[in-house]
Amino acid sequence: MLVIRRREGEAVYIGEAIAVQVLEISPSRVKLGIEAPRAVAVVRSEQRASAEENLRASASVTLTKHSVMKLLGPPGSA
Amino acid sequence: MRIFPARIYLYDGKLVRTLETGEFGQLTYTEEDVLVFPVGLAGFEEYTHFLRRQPPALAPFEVLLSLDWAGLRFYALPVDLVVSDYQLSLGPQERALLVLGAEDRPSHCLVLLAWPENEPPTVNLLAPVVLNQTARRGLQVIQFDSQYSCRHPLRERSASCS
Repeated sequence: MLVIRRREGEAVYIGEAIAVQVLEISPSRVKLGIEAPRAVAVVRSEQRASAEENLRASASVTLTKHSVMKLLGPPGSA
Repeated sequence: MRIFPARIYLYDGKLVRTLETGEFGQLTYTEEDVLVFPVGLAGFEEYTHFLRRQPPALAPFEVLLSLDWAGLRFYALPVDLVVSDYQLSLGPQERALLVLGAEDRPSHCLVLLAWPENEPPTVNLLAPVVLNQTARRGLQVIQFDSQYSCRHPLRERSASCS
């Protein structure tokens, strides 16, 4: 991973068309401004992780009464 | 791929449709049973119509079945069964999509099960599926400022437990 130190107001360019600027730094988070072509999807990591998890979820094994009981215990004990 | 229902018939003044599924057999439903997810689910944005079913044999698991893509289904659990004090955060835009007022509470908050073959089962606490059953709306709400995991383990219990 390329690591670059930047101060508030400074930016980095990715190729010719994408700019990432540090807008604000607070103790717990950094506010970024991103300029990118419309065709480039900019998503937060949580969004990508959720999409990946949904893909895994859609491929879940078929649940049966037995597998539910194995997971959660007998009815009423979940 | 839009699924065309196998049959449509009139019953008690309502149009009843049937959906053939491999796992759950033939299901019947009316328009009132259809949950609309205006922006789909993460990674599945184009699939916006789902049926929610609660097969007794799988309780407390529920199933969300896509009406737009044959075979797309998600198992879900009420979040309270996984984390008793789950803190759901809903912003104004999310409330608008769910047709919820500022003080309204959603009817259900579910977490999706991911249990691919040969992997341990997990649930996605980071992105619960929130329902407003009255308005028949659903939304997957990513909890951006939380510490919740998208792979929260569901530990298998011993089969011999009683």
